[in-house]
Amino acid sequence: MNWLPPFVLGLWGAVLLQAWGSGRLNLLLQADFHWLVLVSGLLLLALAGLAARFAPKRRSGRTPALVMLLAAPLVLLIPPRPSFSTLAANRSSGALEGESETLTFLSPPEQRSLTDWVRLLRSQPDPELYRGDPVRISGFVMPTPQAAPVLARLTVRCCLADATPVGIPVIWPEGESLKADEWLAVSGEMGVERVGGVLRSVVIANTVQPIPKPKRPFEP
Amino acid sequence: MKRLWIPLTLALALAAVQQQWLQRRPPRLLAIEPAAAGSGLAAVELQFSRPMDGASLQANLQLPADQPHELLGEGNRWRLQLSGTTPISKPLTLKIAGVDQRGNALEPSQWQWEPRPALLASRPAGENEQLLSWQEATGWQKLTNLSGSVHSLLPLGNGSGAALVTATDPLEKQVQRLRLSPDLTLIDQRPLEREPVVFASLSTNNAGDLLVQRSKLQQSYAQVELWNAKGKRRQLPMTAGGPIRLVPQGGLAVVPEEDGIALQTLPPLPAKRDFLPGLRDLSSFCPQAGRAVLVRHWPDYRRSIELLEPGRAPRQLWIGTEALLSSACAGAADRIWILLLSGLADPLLELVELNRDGEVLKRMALEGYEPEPGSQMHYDPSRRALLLLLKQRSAQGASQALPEAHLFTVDTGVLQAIPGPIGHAGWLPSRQITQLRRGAPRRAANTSST
Repeated sequence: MNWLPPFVLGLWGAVLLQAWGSGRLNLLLQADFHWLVLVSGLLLLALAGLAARFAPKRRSGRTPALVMLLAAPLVLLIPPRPSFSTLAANRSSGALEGESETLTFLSPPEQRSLTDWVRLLRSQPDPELYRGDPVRISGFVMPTPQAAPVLARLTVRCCLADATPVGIPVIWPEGESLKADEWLAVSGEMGVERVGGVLRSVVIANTVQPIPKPKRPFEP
Repeated sequence: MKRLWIPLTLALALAAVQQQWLQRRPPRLLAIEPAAAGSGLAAVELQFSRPMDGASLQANLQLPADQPHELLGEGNRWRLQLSGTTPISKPLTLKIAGVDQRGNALEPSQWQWEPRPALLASRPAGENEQLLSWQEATGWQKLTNLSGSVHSLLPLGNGSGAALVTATDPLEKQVQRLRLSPDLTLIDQRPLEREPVVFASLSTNNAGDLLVQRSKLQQSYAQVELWNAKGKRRQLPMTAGGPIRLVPQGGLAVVPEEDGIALQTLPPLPAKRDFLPGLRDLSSFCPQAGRAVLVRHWPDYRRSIELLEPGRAPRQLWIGTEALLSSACAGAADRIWILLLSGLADPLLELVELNRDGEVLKRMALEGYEPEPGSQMHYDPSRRALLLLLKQRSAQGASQALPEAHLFTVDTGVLQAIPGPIGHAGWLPSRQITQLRRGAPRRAANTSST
């Protein structure tokens, strides 16, 4: 009996189940789609069982199976450590889907997330309307060319491939040392600044607190 | 294999040429549309085909030298907001030019923009009424004749027309929708219901959606329908203890209930509801999203004015025994005006200005005037003026049969009548943006659709 195909199928089924169970998927996929990975893992395990019980008549090539066999332990052993700031720097900040209407009455300023604020500022970009509003947001540090780093999040509809960065400019406390990709909780108030002749909203940070990377770092 | 090289190379070359062509293609102005004024006097939204360089847009933007303005936004969408404290007194010429973020130049375009809303009003004419528009340059202009009397007139929030409740018989009312062109000529007029109704209440938002609450003779409760700006109807499963109001920014409605007011999302947004208990009514919305002025009714017949802010308990700004007729709000509740009536034998009408902390900034008696019952006060930031429907009283105490529209300039305190009797009136947001080409105006209010 050729043991390689059922073994490889089973191993990859286990890899998918491990990714689903360990939270690794949170770095790759929106939570709405995690069940697809679970179902795929279970299907691969079932196929492995079938392939072990009923050996296929036609022999498949050994090379692809060997490549997959070697790749699976690498996926398991090497933890993903994506640089969100590098990813964000290479993606254009596109249209931000989602409702901004309910943010107005139903969420107080201090309860708005970074993405909520960006949605609101894009739908009503009049900085004077938000001057002095309290802000409590979290995100990662994203360096920007010729300007202070912004606090950013990645919004994802499906998976990492469609990740879109959204950032908000911050006036950081004096002497604050910032590292790219570092996750921070910032509290302060919304202010107004003029950059290149254009008026914009800016977060005037009063306190900056390093925080661990959230379990689910993407926002819908 | 050899044969594949040729098509592959051709495809690669085509892709490279297309990429280079797209990179060098100049940006285009896709749309120029009126937008909510926010904290300014008036605003237009500019939508480009490419992300634009803000500094270049700002540097190349041309407006009359004495007109302060701000350019707001980023990427493809920008907002030109007129600022300052001087009321706008004439249409503006606007030149838009600049480069996109790759340095490609936008073809300069010149526009004539009338930021001031027109006054839309109904005027009784015998047993019927007329629908009129008013602007400084044209005076009163008749738009159409309406059969029967007008019970309610609501200019739509996107300036595309108006909704009306008319009646030839008190128990047979008709809800109509009129479409107007940007230069204020009637496009069409059609009833929204086949059968007459006994009651109808209307509300609109900035997008031009229309909410109709109506009941027929055989119905024990009012039905609620939402007509979107494109004319598509949707039935809303809502019951209310009074007139429902759409929130100007869209997506939400304020629903009066027996023991308070509820804020509800509208479809297709997911259902959310916030409830504020107490004997309260919504009085007016502020231009800043999420702020509104409420009236609270106390058991000892006093009334108070409260400011509602997101996620916070309403803040009392004023309390008194006077009858509170209406209110208006500017900016982020920076200025709030309330119209009060006191005294029975010799009624006194007063206009009070408050700030967001409840301090009384001005209190002015409107002697010799009485209010039109049920009429609202509307603030126009572009004229920095309040619209009031008032009847003038003679020295002998007799008042006019029909009210006149009055403009109260909030900075100078001057009250000026727009001569001519009217029944109902409201501001119709302006859509008058015309592209100027080779010195002659060309009807292109919007490069997309307005």
